Amino acid sequence: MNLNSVSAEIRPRKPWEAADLGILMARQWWWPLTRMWLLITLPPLLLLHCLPASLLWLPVVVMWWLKPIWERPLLYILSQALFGHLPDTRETLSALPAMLRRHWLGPLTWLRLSPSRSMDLPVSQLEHLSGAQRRNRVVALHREDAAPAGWLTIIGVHIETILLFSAYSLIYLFIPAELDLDYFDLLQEEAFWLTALQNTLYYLSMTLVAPFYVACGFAIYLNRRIKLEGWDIEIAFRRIVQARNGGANPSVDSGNGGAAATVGAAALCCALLLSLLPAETRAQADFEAQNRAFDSAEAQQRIEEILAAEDFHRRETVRFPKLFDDENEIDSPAEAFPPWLRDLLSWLAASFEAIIWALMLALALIIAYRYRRWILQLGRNGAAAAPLRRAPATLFGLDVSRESLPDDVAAAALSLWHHGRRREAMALLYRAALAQLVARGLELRDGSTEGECVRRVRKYEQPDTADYFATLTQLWQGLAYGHREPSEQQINRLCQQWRQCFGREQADAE
Amino acid sequence: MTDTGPTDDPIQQSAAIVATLRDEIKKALVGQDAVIDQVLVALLAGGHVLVEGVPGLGKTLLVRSLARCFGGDFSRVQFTPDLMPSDITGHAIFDMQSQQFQVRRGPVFTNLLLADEINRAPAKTQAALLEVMQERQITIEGESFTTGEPFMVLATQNPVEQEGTYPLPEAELDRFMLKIFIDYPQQDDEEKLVQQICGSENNDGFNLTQLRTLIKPQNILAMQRLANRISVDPAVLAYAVRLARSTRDWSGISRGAGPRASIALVAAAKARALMQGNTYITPDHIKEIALPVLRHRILLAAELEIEGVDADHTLRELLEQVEAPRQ
Repeated sequence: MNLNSVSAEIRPRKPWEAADLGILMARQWWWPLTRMWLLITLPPLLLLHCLPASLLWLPVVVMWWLKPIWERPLLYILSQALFGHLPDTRETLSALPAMLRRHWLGPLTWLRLSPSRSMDLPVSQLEHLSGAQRRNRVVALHREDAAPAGWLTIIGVHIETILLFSAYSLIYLFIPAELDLDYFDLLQEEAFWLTALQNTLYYLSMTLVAPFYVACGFAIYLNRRIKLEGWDIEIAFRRIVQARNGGANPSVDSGNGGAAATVGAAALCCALLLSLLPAETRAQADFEAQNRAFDSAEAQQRIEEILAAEDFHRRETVRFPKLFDDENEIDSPAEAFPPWLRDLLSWLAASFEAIIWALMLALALIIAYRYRRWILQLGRNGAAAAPLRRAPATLFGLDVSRESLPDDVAAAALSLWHHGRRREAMALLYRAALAQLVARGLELRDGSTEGECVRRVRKYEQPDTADYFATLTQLWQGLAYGHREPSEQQINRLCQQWRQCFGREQADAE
Repeated sequence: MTDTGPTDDPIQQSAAIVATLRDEIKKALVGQDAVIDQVLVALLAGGHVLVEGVPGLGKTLLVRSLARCFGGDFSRVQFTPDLMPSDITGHAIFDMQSQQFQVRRGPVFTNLLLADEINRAPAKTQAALLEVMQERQITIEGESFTTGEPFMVLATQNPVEQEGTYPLPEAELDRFMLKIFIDYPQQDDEEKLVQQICGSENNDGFNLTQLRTLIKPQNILAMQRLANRISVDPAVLAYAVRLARSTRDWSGISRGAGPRASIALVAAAKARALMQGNTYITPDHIKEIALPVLRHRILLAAELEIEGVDADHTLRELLEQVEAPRQ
């Protein structure tokens, strides 16, 4: 591992920032990753589609189950590319058998559903650890900053699902509305093309998500290692050494493998740390270093001393406002007020509370009043408010009760007519006719005009009565609105017919 | 009925003329009798009409046949999003020969103006009609010109396609005396219509050439004057005003009709009375015409609109409950 050739900036990141770096890596090498994914996964998928139609659900399950295997070449590419060498297809393919041979039982069985799969994969694949060693390592890695690995799996599942349903929707949008498809039947059908389409869509969404998933997991893993092993410090020291050597290539680490480099760097680290210490300490350290070696206990103690020193600590004073009274606190601000002021304040608070409640209540009432019609209609299941029906004793402002009418309407009208009170005569006839009709059950409303009365009468009464009422109405309208009096002959005929149509009933009523 | 009521001769004549006019238009436009009646009401009352209906119900045919039957000028403007106000009213152009500006009159100088799909034009073009509809005059380059007499605007709009349309502003809507809904014809009417059109020799299918020109524009003017003379009893007038006013404080109507509604109610009722040969108007005339007069002048409350209640439903309720006059 050559830290000088890392193409990303090596520094401790926050876990989600590390995931972001993963996204960046996946974007950077998207095509090599996707190409490899397709090369590895497409042949088995196509082969699986040779299964009989009843087993066509299997390809999706198999492809999903074998995901930890399919992800390995992607991780291989990423791990190489990050250190400055992007492997070509042939190289990856030749490395493939070694990758697949090792450590496949766990990931495909009890570890298959592990949410931190993406972060743990490098432990077995890159560090070649297995068994208890692997477990310890994973525990160490998970001690901090591992939460995003689990979330990553959850997000990945969601994105896969969203992509899948988006694809379905897209297809649905392209189906013309004229095509009358029974989608429910379609769902139950086991047609080859339909299942193949479903499989393909799921596979495509998997293809889109996989590189990002692997890259993010790798980046989180990497970040954890940077923090654990202090890669950034190592790189910083190397730069300093490089600068001190006047630009000469330190080449301590070139191709010697990770362990050697780490040891070298650790030595450098100690040396430089010591160089930063005050002169006396340094002198002493120099002296001791020259004269005797530390034993481990002593070394441990010294390390603890150094770690306890101020260089390794940072003191921060954080202030934040206190929202609630702490009972233990003696000098709370509330105590600073005199009791009368506290009483006043609490009284004010209580009043404000009461006012606010009153306002709320008033608002609720206003809203209820404003939308009363709507609320009432809701109660009546949407039926429009039926207009109230008036009692038929007074109709349209006319008194149509029996008591207000003379015994012999026709005779009374004729006598009024002959006395020159022609309008009153017509009004009496019309009013009496209406009263009779209402008594027979004619339903009239406030807004009913004379014409509507005639139409209703035509609907429910004998043709003779209806004709008579129509004529009466017309003459009455002519008099009332057109100011044209009917002739003597017409009024005589009206009175005669009134007796025929309504006289008998009136007699009965009497 | 024993008596057709007290009438004057000219009024009876007018009623007869309108009846023949109606029958003539019916020959071309089958199954839309109510619509024809309402358009004739507006013509006699000197008002303008907004016709709303889905395409293909004969809105344009109605106007063309009307223009043909009374022998007036007819022009049609297809409203489009890029139509300019001067495309309707006219404009002044510079004549190179005479070195003077000459006014070129727009299609609005006519008797019957069909504003087809009026809501497809933006508000500024719709507003070009404001002056001409109210004042019957057009101002071009500071000079006023009067339109033809009689003058009537028949605007059509389509209720279904709202994409890319501009709803008419209230001021414009208020200037239409009536808003008429044109609906699908009945089964037998439609059969008759199809038979008539498929059997015709003419290419466009509509036998407009068979329609006779029955009257002249001057006759229409005379009938309009006659309609104005129809007497109105104070009680009926009060009823019309009461109807218009009650829309203003009716629950379920957030903005009621203005005074133009009362005026239009009475004017339209007069025309209606004339068509029926009456010399006076009754509350029935007011009520018959109330829906087309009021439906475009009110704005329903939001909660009713959400429930899907339309203006007609609310107005019918109102007409049921506003007290009709009693003498």
